[in-house]
Amino acid sequence: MPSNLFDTTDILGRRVTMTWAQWDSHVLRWKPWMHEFVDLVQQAVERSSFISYDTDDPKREIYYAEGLIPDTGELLKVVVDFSDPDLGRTIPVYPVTRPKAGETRRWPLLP
Amino acid sequence: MATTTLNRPWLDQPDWTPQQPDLTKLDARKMAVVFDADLDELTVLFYGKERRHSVHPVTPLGSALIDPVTGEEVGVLYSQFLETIVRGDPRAAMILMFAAVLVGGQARAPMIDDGDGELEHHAGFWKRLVRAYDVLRGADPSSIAEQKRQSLAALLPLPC
Repeated sequence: MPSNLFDTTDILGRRVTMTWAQWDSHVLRWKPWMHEFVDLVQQAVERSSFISYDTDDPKREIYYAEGLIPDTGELLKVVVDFSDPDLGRTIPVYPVTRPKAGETRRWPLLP
Repeated sequence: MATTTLNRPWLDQPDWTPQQPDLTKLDARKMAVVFDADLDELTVLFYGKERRHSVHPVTPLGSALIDPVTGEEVGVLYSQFLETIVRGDPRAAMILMFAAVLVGGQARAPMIDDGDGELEHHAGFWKRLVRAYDVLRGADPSSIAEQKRQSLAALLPLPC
């Protein structure tokens, strides 16, 4: 099995990866029902609806994708660490009802 | 891209707020606690890890974990757990004894496992943690201070 769940390019042209080890330890082991989302995480990075800066760590960015999760209207939230500016490493993934208050928009910039 | 709203009438009601379950009826042995050291996040799952949920941010430090179909609150998630919550009230660190700890790509088992009934024995810790969440919902540091003052007053009643 390859070490990466995915190795792709985000909408801003940056390389973003997620390892199987991260997927297993940070996501699947504690949220086993998220196996249904495994194919959606890469799509959320590639076709984000918007990207925000994390309120807790400026090196992290939050990718939100609307419309990927059927029926519930949830957003798929993907947290990516850019400690290395040339390589984003995905940490956790959550379905969320709405973005966290106080996050600053990274893309697209609001008028 | 438009957001669909098919199965979440609970969220579309403007006055909706998450409703915590009756803590006295929860089975502490089924609860799961996970501390993500990389993110400084603590998650408490009232009914274990099998329950589907959605993160519903309530305050900068606290989110409710909601069943996306019924709107039932099935857990809580604390951000800045060590940096802010434990710094504000070191007693909150006790919950880490029951938490699986995630570091990098590894997961470490809790110091005290729930298989031996100790969680049930220590159910008071759970209740204190969840009570703290009620305070966090207010997102007002003064209310946390007031909560602490009241707790101390209850523990150490001062003579009139």
